[in-house]
Amino acid sequence: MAFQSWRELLREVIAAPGEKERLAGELGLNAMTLTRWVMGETVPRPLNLQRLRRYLPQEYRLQFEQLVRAEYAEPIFSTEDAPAVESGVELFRSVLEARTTSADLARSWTISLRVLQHAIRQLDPEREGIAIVVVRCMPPASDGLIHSLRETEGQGTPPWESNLSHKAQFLGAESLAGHVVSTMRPEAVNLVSAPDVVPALPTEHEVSAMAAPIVFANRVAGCVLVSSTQPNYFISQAKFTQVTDYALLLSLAFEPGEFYPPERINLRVLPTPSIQRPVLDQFQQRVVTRMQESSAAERPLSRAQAELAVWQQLEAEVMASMFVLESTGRNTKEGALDEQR
Amino acid sequence: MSSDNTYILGHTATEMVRLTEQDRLITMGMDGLLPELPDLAGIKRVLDVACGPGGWALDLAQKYQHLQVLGIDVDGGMIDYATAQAKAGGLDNATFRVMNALEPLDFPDNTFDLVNARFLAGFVPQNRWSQVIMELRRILRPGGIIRWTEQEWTGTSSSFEQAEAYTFQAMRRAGQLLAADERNVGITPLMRRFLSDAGFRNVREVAHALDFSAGTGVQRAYAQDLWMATVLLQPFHLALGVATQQELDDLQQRVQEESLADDFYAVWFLLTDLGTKP
Repeated sequence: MAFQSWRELLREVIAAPGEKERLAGELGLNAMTLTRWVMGETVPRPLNLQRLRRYLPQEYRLQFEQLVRAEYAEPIFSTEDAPAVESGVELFRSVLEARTTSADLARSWTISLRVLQHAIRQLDPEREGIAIVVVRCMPPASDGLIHSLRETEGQGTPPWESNLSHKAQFLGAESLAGHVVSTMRPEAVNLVSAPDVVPALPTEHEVSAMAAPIVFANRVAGCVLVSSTQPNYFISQAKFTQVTDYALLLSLAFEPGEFYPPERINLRVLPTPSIQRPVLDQFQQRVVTRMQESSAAERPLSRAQAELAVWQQLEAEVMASMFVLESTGRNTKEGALDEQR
Repeated sequence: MSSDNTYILGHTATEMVRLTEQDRLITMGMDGLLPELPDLAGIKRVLDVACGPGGWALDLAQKYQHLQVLGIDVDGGMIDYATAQAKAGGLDNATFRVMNALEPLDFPDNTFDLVNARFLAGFVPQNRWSQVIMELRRILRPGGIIRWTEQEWTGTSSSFEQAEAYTFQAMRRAGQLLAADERNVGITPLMRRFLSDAGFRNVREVAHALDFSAGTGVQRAYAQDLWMATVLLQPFHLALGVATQQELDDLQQRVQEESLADDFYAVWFLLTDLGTKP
């Protein structure tokens, strides 16, 4: 149903039994206040308009936001608001401090997590559902080329899990991340109607997505991959810019030797997540075994060294399984979607 | 680190990130931000003492937007971090100020409806507990609630036990250990008494067990938290002379191996005491 104003929309919503009381309770306001807004007797503060949007039934939120934007000259919704710039200065400062002061063992983790912690609040202030993952290039194979990417640190808001790091998997040419790393250009897609020119295989809960490459001196180390439960979530210039800014900052989490010139990126199409999972589930125990063996041999590997060795081992196994899958035709986009259904 | 800062893990960017991650794990493990207080009627002004990078206060402000949440911490870096996070999330009901919980607090009497404090044992010297709790009572309004959480943990990893032993020895030397021996911090059995002695009424205790053993789905996240803690505790251990650099490096390696293994079992016990100001 099309409404002429957000007041008209709100009138419709609170006409449903119990909705006025529910909304008033969520907002911590008297129910009569909502009636006054609808009648135009009083004007809500911008913060209350933000909150009201958050507690409206899902199907009304986008139209409500559009109607409010049409009425107010000043930005109301926080994702495009000025404080983002202000908090960005502190973020830049703290990332640079982490780069300067963190111990070698902790530097990459500290910078990645600092950026993700900021991004999760800024990109999803209404807790509608977002997942943000840092994706790294695997080291070059014996032919000197990079054939896959792997997910590393990740965070989410419901319906995704809070910590996504243990769900890491390989990504290849079939993925949005693979496309963005190969082209070294940021890209946003609506996955329910993704154009064929951008490869993208929607994962569970994912309706729209964006990826931005992590670049230094025209070489690429990976990308930041952001998924949303909402359609067209990255269509606004403000969000697109925010994600690309996070990718710029994440470049400080990588060592110079982890960036590769574009001609060495030669990604393969990889098996779907469900096919990779049984192999990846062995990751943690293999890392422990590798560390224990190295300690016993009195040549101890750090956890990062052991993890990288195991990732390379698993990459080879996943690649090998791909040859089998290609011959049986089991690794298709349609097949992956069928698995999710 | 400021000279007023007695926090044993110090101030680093890594510690701010670690504590923020730990907040998320604890909230998830405790089934919410205020699981013992399902009814927030009458609560509007909330203080979070020693808030660190502000994770709990920010999530509370996010979830209950009618609350005014203020976090205080002795560390200006933590406060800058928390303030930036509040701005990033557009939370104008969450604010943060630099303040030392070991000193008189810059608030009038009867200011807050709820005072939350977690893991004070990391910085309160053993002879200052009564003063700290009395000050928290002063700034609560009559009928206001204190919510105070401390922790102990146990597990099958010998390297964690060794890391803890170093920490307790160092805390003893720094005058921050209450227990008679050096096998635990010793704060949890005393919490009820501290609250009662400070004049709180209706004191009750709620315990949570956060299992992060192999197979729980959170093992890796906790392992990261504990590993980073052992890295960050190194300066404290070295400064108090409880271990050499080589011993600490070897320990770090073993912590990583053991905490990720599939025969690793550990539980983190959190005790929350709640009391009402008459």
